[in-house]
Amino acid sequence: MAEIKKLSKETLNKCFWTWEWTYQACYNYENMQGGCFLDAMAPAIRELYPAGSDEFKDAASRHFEFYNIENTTGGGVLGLVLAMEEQIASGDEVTPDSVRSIKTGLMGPLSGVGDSYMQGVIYPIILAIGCSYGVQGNTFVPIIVILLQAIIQIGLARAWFNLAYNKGSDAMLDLIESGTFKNLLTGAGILGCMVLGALIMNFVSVHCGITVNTGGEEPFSLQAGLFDTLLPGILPLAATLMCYALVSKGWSSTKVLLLLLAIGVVGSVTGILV
Amino acid sequence: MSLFQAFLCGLLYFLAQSNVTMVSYGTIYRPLVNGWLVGLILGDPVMGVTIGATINMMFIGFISAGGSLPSDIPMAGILGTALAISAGLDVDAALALAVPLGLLGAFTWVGRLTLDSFFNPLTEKIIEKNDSLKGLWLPTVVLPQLFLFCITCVPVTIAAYFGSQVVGDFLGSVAFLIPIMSVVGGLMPALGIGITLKFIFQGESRVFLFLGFLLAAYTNLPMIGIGLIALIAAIIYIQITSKIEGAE
Repeated sequence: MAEIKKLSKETLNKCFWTWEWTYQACYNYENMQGGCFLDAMAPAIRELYPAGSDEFKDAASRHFEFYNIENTTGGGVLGLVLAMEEQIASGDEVTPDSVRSIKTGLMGPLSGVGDSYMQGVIYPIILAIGCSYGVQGNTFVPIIVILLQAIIQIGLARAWFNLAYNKGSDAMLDLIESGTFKNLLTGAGILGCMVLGALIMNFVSVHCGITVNTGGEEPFSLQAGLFDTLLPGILPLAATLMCYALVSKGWSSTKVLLLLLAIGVVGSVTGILV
Repeated sequence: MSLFQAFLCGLLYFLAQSNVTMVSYGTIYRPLVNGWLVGLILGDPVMGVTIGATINMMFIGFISAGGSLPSDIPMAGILGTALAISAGLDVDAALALAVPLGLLGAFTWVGRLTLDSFFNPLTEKIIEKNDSLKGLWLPTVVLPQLFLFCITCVPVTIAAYFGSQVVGDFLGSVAFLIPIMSVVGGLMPALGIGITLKFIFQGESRVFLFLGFLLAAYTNLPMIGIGLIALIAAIIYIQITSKIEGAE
């Protein structure tokens, strides 16, 4: 086996930071992040293949293809592909086609993993806690939000990148399959669910305006007399579970939004909702 | 609002939509952050963050999972806050303004995803030329971002500059819309939370949704307190389940 060509640390960093900053700078329907992934690979291609050679051109064109992945786990695939390109450039048995299949094979499942912890847990928790202070006029909160998001996102992307580059695809897949990782995802899911449950109570607001004239001095208010005494927040909970059910059934979020708009307008005009 | 301040608001909207990781989706995209920045531009950061956070609550959980978003969140946050501060509106009126602004949405998103495809043939040419990929950053970063700048910064600058002069009178004549929009705005987080639940409302985690809900319903714990309790609950759960698995 030939000596493996290794990319310099500087080039690896260049690839990583290009990915982090501009991975979606030219987001488009035709190949989504295709051009930007090539942009992130460019420093490595320049170092591994002689300029103007056929190998150079082949490497460039195999990375200008349909590609769409979540940012942090995408850091992992980038690391993996960089390690594979090193092997291809060294004449190892890795074929260019296997790079393609790794990219297309991993982007779906890894986006799922990344979206579930980033968009499902980390974003909503940081923003929810931030908003609850923000509404009181706390001007430090936005700064903390910016710092937290940046540190978490770059940190996770770099961790995936290092793991995948140094240890390869098996290590990455082993990690995802491992008990510890599953525990972490379960824990994140529990954390997310509990915070979202609290958000339903604190952020969603649905008030029933129906009053029943019982002949007494004050008309009986359904909201104050029934809902607030029995289970405060039952209407927000019902509204949220309805949205969840509709979205899970395959309704587009636009459709659900229009439904909410209709409910809100009709409810408000008739006085059922206030 | 001066033209320069309006331009800064437009610039902010461009940055929010730029999809450049650290300044965009997790940060300036969110009304909590961009409302505060608009407040800084207009000299009232406290009002800015208050309005921004209120608008952000409406869009909590609105996420794009490999698809499109039904709303233009930064448009609601930036223009909503800017117009509210410059016209001297209260938070309720600001929300009433932000709901339709957000619903206008998705034009920027669809426009850029469609038209950015036109830069791909340029990238193709650079690969074909086989000259060390010189100038690759033009079609992959510079040109699409310049194009984005034109379709984002320009209209928001105009809307912020002229909007602040008319919005006060306009809201006065449609004041009856404010309570309606506040009902709609109250319902909207239900959708965002519903979308987010699609990712994590699974298996044994489900019951914890109701635990969090009940804690918030029957106590006055602040969000951060519930967040920390949730963290402990998650740790306890994992400790117990891994013990059980270990014993088997």
